[in-house]
Formats: sequence, structure tokens, C-alpha cells
Amino acid sequence: MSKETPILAVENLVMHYTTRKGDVSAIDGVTFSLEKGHSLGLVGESGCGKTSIAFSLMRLLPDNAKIKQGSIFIDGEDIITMSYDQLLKFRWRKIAMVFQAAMNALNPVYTVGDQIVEALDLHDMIKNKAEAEERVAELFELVGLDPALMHRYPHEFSGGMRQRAVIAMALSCEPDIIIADEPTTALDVIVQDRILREMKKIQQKLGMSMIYISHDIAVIAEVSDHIGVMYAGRMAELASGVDIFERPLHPYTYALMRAFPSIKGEKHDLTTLPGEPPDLLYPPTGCRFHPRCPFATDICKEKQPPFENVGGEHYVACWHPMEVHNDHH
Amino acid sequence: MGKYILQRLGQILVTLFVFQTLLFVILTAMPGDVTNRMLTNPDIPPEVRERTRQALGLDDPVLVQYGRWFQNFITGNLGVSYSEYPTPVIEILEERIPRTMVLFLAATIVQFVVGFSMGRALAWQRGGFFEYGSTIVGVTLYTVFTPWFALMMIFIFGARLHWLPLGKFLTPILWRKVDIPGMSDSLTKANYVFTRMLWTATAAFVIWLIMAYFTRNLSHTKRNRTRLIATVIILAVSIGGWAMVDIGPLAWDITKHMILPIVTLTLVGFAGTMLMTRQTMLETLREDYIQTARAKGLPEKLVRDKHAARNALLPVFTGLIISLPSVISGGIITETVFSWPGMGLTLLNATTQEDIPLVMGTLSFIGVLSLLAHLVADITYAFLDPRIRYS
Repeated sequence: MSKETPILAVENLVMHYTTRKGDVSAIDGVTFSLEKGHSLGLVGESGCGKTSIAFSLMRLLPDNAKIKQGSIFIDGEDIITMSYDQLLKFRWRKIAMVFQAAMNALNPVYTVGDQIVEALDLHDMIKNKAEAEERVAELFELVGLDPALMHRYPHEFSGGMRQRAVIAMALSCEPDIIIADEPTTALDVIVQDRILREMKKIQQKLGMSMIYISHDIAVIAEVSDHIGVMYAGRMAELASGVDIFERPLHPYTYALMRAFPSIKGEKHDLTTLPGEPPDLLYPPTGCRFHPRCPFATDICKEKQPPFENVGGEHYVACWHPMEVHNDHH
Repeated sequence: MGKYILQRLGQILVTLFVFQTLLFVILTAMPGDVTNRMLTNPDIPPEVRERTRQALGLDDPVLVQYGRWFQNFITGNLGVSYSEYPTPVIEILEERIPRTMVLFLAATIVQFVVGFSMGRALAWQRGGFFEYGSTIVGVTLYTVFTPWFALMMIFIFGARLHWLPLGKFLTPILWRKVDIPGMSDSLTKANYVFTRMLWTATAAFVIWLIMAYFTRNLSHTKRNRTRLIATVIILAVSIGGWAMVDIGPLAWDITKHMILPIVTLTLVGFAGTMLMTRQTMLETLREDYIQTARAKGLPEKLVRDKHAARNALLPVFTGLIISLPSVISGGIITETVFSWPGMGLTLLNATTQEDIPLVMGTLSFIGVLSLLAHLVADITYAFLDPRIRYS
């Protein structure tokens, strides 16, 4: 496989949840790709579709979710058309996940070590018990846990330790991609920061690709090479971390950044974005952000803006991207 | 853990004392005694009744009676039955406890296994004919009047179809044909066969547990296969062993008599376990670790059995243990309908004949069993759920 082929390529993904009231358009035409060894952050308000994307990538969607269109290529294979048996071998081996609320991601009645061994055993990564213990010890050391703890139960771990254990579990089968869905939300800021840094280090050491998902753009910025800003099921803007921070083109990206205080940058008043994210049962016409956008014009209400490359690796879906830019500089 | 068990045993002794005292008070407070029946017989002069009361110590002050009874209870003397005079109560219990235990233990376990597997399947496949069908049938049977339902079962399978015996726990003609050295009547023979059946079952179960313990470290598919083979071997050896001895047909006769009560009790009760399992499974399925298990690439069956059902088992198992003693006292109706000569029937007959020692003995046994069951439930819970530790 050539070096340019991305490890993950999502093309025009459309996914609906069927509910009694009608179809909820949770993901609407999302396109992005991820190079081997790189990391991508997905950021947006709750309900914008970031977790739905993560679950689509693992084909772990609930029964009422339907992928209507698009393709997801992981290491050259389209997982949407994959059979169930193929999928079982694919999960965790190619793409693993560190779940949101990792506190409850471990089964309380099995030891932490056994739960990791379960994954190793399933994917034929180990031959016998001794080898399994050795591998778990190795993983524990990698994430900064004492290997002696592998025979303990999840409730004997602190929040930070459990988070580390879940990361160790995600690393166990040496996947190409790890999705970290709000990996540190439940932890205090100090532990959060330390774990993020360590994850970044492990990722670089093992040469894996990462997808971070968070509502906190500051967390994303610290660990991701590229950042995708999502709004109401669509990708609003996708660019390198530097570009997103220094040259935001979408009014929503701009608003999102003004909503978080920065200790490094210049002082600014925290602004909040008026209005609420739209009800995706009845998504707005045209650009989904137009009801809350201060720069919206008639075209925004009528036509969906294309997701276009505006130079380099900077993509944006907005009819008036530069206006925002000029207005504030 | 050891300290906890000791502490609990201490509590059990205190509770038992209170229980026994209450039992004594309630039974003594009831009007009349066993000599009441003499009143209706004009041939018995009042002096005879008076003398009988004196001989039995029934005319002593209540406190003296209580002291005497309590002293006897501690030394293991439960007295002599009035209605089956002069058989000691302990002998009657020794004879009947195994019969009741076998029947109700089997019924409770079958009911639990059926209810648990159905509830597990229901939670996994919501909606559809299977869920509605089994819920409607289960709840209907759960609410139906049990004696009527049991009679219907006897009527259909016993009287009409002749598939199964009508009642009692053995067919006397069959038993007279088989000789067991040193035993003349079928009741002694029955106890002999019965005790051996019980020991076989216990031994098979213990061997199975040891096997399960040694296979616990195998990988899932291998372990299931090994356990299945081992289970079949254990069953084959114990059943085959019985088939080869003379008393084999007798054991089969007892088994045949047990089928109808077990099926009836299962049908009447499985809905409780089923609905509880379904509910706890649905709660467990919402947990994040189920999602983790799926993400790891576990097939759905393993996610269900190893992760979801294992956690849903906790409350259901407690329910099972707690229901064990109550199933014996609740067996009065079943034992009466099926004329099964066990504890329930004994309690009923003893009560109607004012056979106070036998009533006390039976109820004491049920009380002790209840207290022990709660202790066992607490201890097994600590093994099933690692989050629970006693100190």
C-alpha cells in the first residue's frame, strides 16, 4: 500500500436514526480522512454527531440507526459492506475505542487483567496464560499502571487508574486506529492533562492513528494534528490545529473558540452563542448553522454550502467564510 | 470473611431464640389441646382426660412448660408426636425432610433455570411473538389458582392420558416385588432408596463443581465444550449406575412420581424469575461495559452470556436462595394436592390434630432453614459480586 493511502477514509457519510416521530438526520454528508500515525480531533456541541461518527466507524450503532449513504474505508476495506463475522475480527484489531465515561466501561465482575486477556484471546494475540499475563503486564507498564494490579477488580481502581486500564485495553491488540471518545471528561484537570500527554506519547511511540472526540476544543488542540469542527451532523470546518486557531473561517468555529477561556492567548470576553443547536428531526434548510449565524444571508437559508478546500489542508463549508475573518482582524 | 460468618451465626442464634419463643407463645395461646378430642367421645370419663393432661404436663404453668420445652429443644429433644404416638418427632422429620427437599429443590432449580434462560432470551430479542407469547402465558400461569391448576394437570396427564401417576410418591405393588435385605415394608425401603438417590445427586453435583473449578481458566469455546462433555459423562455414570442395580426400577418409580409436581410448580412459578431476569438484563444492557464487550469483537452470544447475563444473575440468584425455605412451607398446597408425604402434608395434619410437638418441630426446622438460607445467600453473593466484601 502506498504511503499516501490514508488509514481511514470517510466519504460522504449519511446516517439516520429512525424514531417514532421520524428520521433524525444525525450525520449528513461527512467526509474526512486520517493518515497513518496522525491524529484528528472532532469537536462540537453535544448532539452534533461526533459520537455517532465514532460508533459508525466501529459499526456499533444501535438497531434504529441506518447508514444511508457513503463509505468508510479502514486500511483499504469498506466496513459498511463487511459481513458480521468479518466485522468481529476487524473490531479492536484494526480499530479500538476508549469509551466516553470509561468509569463504567469495565465489567465489575471480572478482573481488569481478565478483561484485557479476553480481547487478546479473541483476536489470537496470545497462546497461553503465561504469555497473556506477560502481555498485560507490558500494557500496564505502558500506560503507567503497576502490573501487580491486573488481578484486581475495577471497583478497586481510582478514576484515573480505570482510565489508564481502559487505554491499556484499547492498545492490547495493537490497532491501527484508536478512537478516544471524551476520554478524560470524568477526571479532574490535573489527571486529565497527564493522561492526555501520555496518550499522545504512546500514540507517537507506537505510530498509531488517533481520533479524539471532545466538546472541549482546548483538550482537542493539545493532542490533535488536525481538527474537525462539527455542527448539527455536518463538518463545518476541517484544518490543521494551527489554522483552526489562527485562521478560523467558519463563524461557528470562531464562536466555539470564544466560548473557552485561554490562559496563553490575549484576554477576551467570553462570548456565548445565542440560540440552541437545531432539532435534527427537522434540520434547517441550507446551511444548518444559519439560524444562529450573525452573517447569514438569503443563500445560507436556501442552499447547503459545499465543503471546499480553501488552500492547503483547510476545508470549510460556508458561503461567507472570509467575512468572519475580515470582521475580526 | 470468617469473622463475618461467626458474627452472623451469633445473630442467627439470637434470632432463632426469638423465633422459637414466639412460636411457643403463639401455639400455647391457641385454645384447647390434644385432649380436646376426648371430649367428643362419651366412653372416655373426664378423669382420664385430666390424667392424660397431667401425664403430658399440659396442666403446668405456662412458664414451667416453656422452660421444660426450651431445655429439651437445646438438647435436641423435640419430643414425641401426639398424633403418631409414640414416634419421636425427630424420627418423623428425618423420614419426611428428604422427600420434601428432593421434590422442591428439583422444582425450584428447574423453575429458576427455565425462568432465567427465558428472561435472558426475552431481554435480548425485544418485541415479537416470542416475548408477548411467553409473557402472557407466564403471567397467566403465575396468577392462576395453584390447587386448581395442579388438579387440572393431574386430570389431564394422570387420569386422561395415563402418562404419569396420579399422586403419592411410589407405586406399592412395584415395591413389594423388590427385596432389600433386612427391610420389610415399602416405607423403609423407600427411605433407603431415597437417601441413596440424594447422595448420588449430591456427589454428582460436587464432582461437577470440582470440574467447573478446574476448567475455569480455559478459553471460552474450549471450556464450554469440556464442561458439556464432562456433564454428559457425570450424568451418564450416575444414571447408568442406578440402571444396573436391583433398586434401579424403584428409583425410576420415585422419579416418575416427581415429574408432575415439578412440571406444575415450574409452570406456576417460572414467570417470576423470567420477568425479573428480563428486567435486570435490560438494565445491564444499558451499561457501558456491554458496549465495550461488543467493541472488542465479542460475538453477540458471548456478550449476552458472559457480560450481560453474568451481571443480571446477581439479584436473581439471591431471589432463588431466599425462596428455598419458603418453598417448603409453601409446599403445603402442592403436597396435599399430589398427596406427597413430605413436610407440608405433615405440618397440615399435625395442625388439624393439635399435635403441638410435631407442629413446633416442623416450624422450627423451617425457621432454621430460612436463617441458614439467608446466610448462604450473603456468602454466595460475595463470590458472585467482587464489589461486595464483608468485614
